[in-house]
Parts: sequence; C-alpha cells; structure tokens
Amino acid sequence: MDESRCKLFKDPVHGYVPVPKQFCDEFVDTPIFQRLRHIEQTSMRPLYPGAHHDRFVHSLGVFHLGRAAVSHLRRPDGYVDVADWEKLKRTFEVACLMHDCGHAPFSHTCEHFYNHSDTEGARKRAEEWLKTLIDDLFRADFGRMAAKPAAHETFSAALLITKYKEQVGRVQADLYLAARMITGCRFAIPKDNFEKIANCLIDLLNGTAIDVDKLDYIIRDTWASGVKNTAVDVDRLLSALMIGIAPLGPRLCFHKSALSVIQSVVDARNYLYEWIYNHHTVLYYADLLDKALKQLGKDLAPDYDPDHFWEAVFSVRPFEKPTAINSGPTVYLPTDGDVMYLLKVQAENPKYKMVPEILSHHPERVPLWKTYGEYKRIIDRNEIPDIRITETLKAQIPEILAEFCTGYDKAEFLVIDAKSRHASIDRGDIMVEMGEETPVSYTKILGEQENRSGRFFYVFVPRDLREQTAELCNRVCSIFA
Amino acid sequence: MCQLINAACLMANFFEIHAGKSIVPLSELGKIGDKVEEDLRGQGVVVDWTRPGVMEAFDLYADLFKLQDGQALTTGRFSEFVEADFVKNEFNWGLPASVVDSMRKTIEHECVAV
Repeated sequence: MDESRCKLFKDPVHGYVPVPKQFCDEFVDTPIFQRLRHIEQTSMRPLYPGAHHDRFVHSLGVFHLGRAAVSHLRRPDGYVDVADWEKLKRTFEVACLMHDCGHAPFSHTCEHFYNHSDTEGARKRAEEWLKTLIDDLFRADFGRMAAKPAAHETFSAALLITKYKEQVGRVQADLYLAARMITGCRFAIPKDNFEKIANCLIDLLNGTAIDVDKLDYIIRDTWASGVKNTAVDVDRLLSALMIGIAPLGPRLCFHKSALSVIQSVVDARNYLYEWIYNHHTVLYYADLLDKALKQLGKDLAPDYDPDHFWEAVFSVRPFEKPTAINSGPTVYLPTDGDVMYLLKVQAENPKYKMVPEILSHHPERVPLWKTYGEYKRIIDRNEIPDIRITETLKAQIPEILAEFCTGYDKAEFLVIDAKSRHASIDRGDIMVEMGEETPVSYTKILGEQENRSGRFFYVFVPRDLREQTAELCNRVCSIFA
Repeated sequence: MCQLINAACLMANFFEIHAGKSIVPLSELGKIGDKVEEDLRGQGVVVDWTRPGVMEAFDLYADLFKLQDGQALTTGRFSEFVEADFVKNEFNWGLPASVVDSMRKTIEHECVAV
C-alpha cells in the first residue's frame, strides 16, 4: 500500500489525521462509513449543545491513535517476523477505523436494540448473526470470553465481515482477526507467536484496561462538552506503550514513566462518568428516547411478527437495501435523523407524550436532586443504610408520591438509575513495566482506589411540583426508613 | 417483551446459592449465563453478560463485588446483604418467579471449577 498518498482530515482533537488514500477508497468513502457522520457520539447533547461530535470523527480519531500507538511499539523480536508484524499492524489499523461501523442510531442509548427481541424465543440477534459468519475456533473463543462484546461491537464485526471482505483483502489485512479486534475476542489458547502478539493488539483496541477507543472518547467527549476535565497527555502515554513478557506470554503494558498519565486517564474517566454521563438531564432524555422507541417497536410491528420493527431498523437489513417498516416509511442506512423522523410522525399521538418533550427540549419533569452529592446528603441525613435501598422499595416511589400529590398519576413520576455501562476501566488490568521480572498490575503499585460510583438514582416529578421538593424528598426517604 | 437478567443479578444469585464460594472466574459465570438462557428458551429471557454489563455490575455494586484477574470476588459485606434479603429485593426484582426459579436451579446444578 502506498502510504505516501494520504487524505488529511482536520480533527479538532488530534489535529490533522492522515488516512492513506487506499483506506479512504476502500473504507472511508463508502456509504456505511459515511453514515457515521449522522450518528451522535454520546447522549450528552441535551446537556451540552456543542457536543455535536459523531462516530465518524471518533472512528478517525481511534484510527489516528491506533497508528500512533503501534508506531511506538517495537516489533517483539523472536515472536513475529517483519512480514507478520506488518500484517498485524495493517489489520489493527483496519479494525481501529471500522470498529464502530455498525454503531446504532443514538449510539449507546439505542445499541441494545441490536440484541432486542419481542418474540417469546428471545434471541440476541446481533450475536447470532456474527456466530453464523465465523469459523469454529473463533466461535469457541467467543463462547469462552470472560464477558461478551457490547451489541454494537458484535454488529460492527459482523458488518465488516459481510460488507468489506474484498476491501480488507486488498489492503493485505486479516478479515477475521480484524473482527476479533473489534469484538475484543482474544485467542484463548494461542497456537503460535503470531496469535500471542495478536492478543496484545486486540487488547489495545478493545481491552478492559486502557485502549485507544477509550482514550479517544475520553479526550473527545471532554473537548466536545467544554468541561475542564483532567488533561491526558496522550503522546506521553502512547510513547510508553510496550509489549512486556508476563508468565503467560506477551502482554500489553506501559513503561513506568507513564504512571502519572495512567492516573490522569482514570481520573478523566471518573469525572466524565460522575458529572457528564450520569447527569440527570442526559439520563432523562435517554430514558425518554428509549421508551419512545420501545413504543414504536410495539406499534409498528404487525401481530404476526413482533420483531418486525427491530429487524427493519436495528439489523443488517436496512444496511443492504431500503427497508419498509410495516408497509410504511422506509429506512436505509439508519441514522439519528431516521429515528427522529419516525418519532416526529407520532408527535400528536397521545401514546407518545415523550416526543413533544424531546422535540421542545422542555422537560415535563424535574429531578428531586441533581447530583450524587445531594443524593448522598439526603440519604445520610435521613440515616438510611445502603442495605435498605433496593429496587423493590424504589419501585414504590411513583405510587407513594402520586398518593401524596393529589391529582397526579403514578406514571408522571419517574425513577431513573445512574448507569455505568461505558468507559469502564479495570485498573487491575493496566499492566506497568516497573523494571522487574514481569509487568505489574497498576492496582498492585498504587493500591485499590475507592471508586466514587456505586448505586445512585434520580426521582423525577412533574415540573409544577418543583416548589415541594423538600417535602417529596422526605416522602421518598420514608419509603426506605 | 424480553426479560433481561443483568450481570449483577447472575453474580449475586451465584454467590448466594454457592455460599461457600467467594471467587469465580467470569468466563465460568458467562457459561452459566448461556445455560440459564438455554434453559429458559421460549420464555423470552436474555442474560446481559456483555463487557459493559459486567463492568457496570462491579462499578455499581463495588461494596459487594470485586474484579480481580478476570475473576469475580465477593466482599466481606456480601453475606450481610444476603441475610437482609437483598438478592431478592434488589437483583431479582421485576423478574417473574418462574424465571428466577429456573435461573437458580441452573446455577445450582452447574459445577464450577474455581
């Protein structure tokens, strides 16, 4: 491949991102990849209007970081020859670029619909699809994974295999290894040194520790929101990347000189988790969108085919050709805009009260508390032990508040849990080369650090009750007392 | 509508049933999750044993579970929570009794190498 001919993409986070012309021809300049321009990166736009970043620029960012990372990695002598190392690197670049190619409209808010089913014999549709495309060894390793990939990763890997087979071959990369990298599916029992080193690169794109995907979105989400988060010296971090030799074979690790940057990645992730991803406004709108889509799933499916809507929008079908939803609107290469269109059509339908809220950005409800800190103070002041705060009691909140506030229906009160589904980092899995015989786990060096997350929920009440929040908080606490 | 058994629910039920165990490889729990799904085929049940789902369980229930070298561990507080019926009231809440029964039977009968 002629690396001297590149297209330069101006990225506000990383500066100019050079992408080889052949990668543009084979991958970037294709309808499936360009679709990512219309998939928002996060659900935080209701909170930060400037957060218009999308999966397209994130994919380029991961490609950029991935190339920078492997350029710092020395070829492990005695493990792979030059030709194999080049193939591994090329495959890793393809995987970085295409890792989100199948991400769902509204990203993580809706990706679970790829595995959603309303039939009695519920199936994980994306997972089943991928399993039909891979060989026995890959399938066995997939089954052995400590935890399965996220739905969008499974779907993206399957989409790559189905739609980009020839293109991957033309850039001299390995299609199924790229799919393994996207899903984080390591070789459980590596048969040779090639597979041992491949496992390190799988971890570098999709591991439980620090990988280039997480690095890009931590930096990008911070930039797009405009918050003053802990700065991450990404150049320093990537230059410290190395393949160390652990008892079970080669292992991706960082040189000890990057310890401070590792800490800043962990801190930056925790900041985003606590103050951005779990902000009450972000969670509220994500909840409205989720409910609206589930309602569409019911209303737009004929009785004989309960999964019709999910198959029409959240499957490979609309990636192949324009697909009609129950003889109604047609969807092709589904994006945020398509989903918004389907919702707008329902704006005056009384079953879709959430749609005018989404469209006007005028929430009908307000939270009783707005931060984890306020929640903790309320719980502590009322001396409620953790052990008492259970889903069973939380489920009573809407009914109890509705009884207390005459004239309101329990459906007008909402309980929404804080979530922690993305951007998780297993600090124990970050390995550091300390000059000892083998790399050492980060937590063994600096000790366990208490995670500030933990269980936490918001209660949303009708807007015109906002003057009574103190009283309503007391009611909520009385349930747990 | 399909019923979702989340990772924390599977873990909590495992450690409650196998009270003598305080550590289990995640891959073993994943296999048990697959078996739970298989045994409940036809009842619209899926187990969310995805990496984000599993990591969420360790984040949200950091006071009960720890992740170490690809294995799930219980903390010292787990038995206190079990005694207070926390598994039933927190993790199994919202699941039909038949689903909980089937899941627990599967967990009980699965041999786990630790």
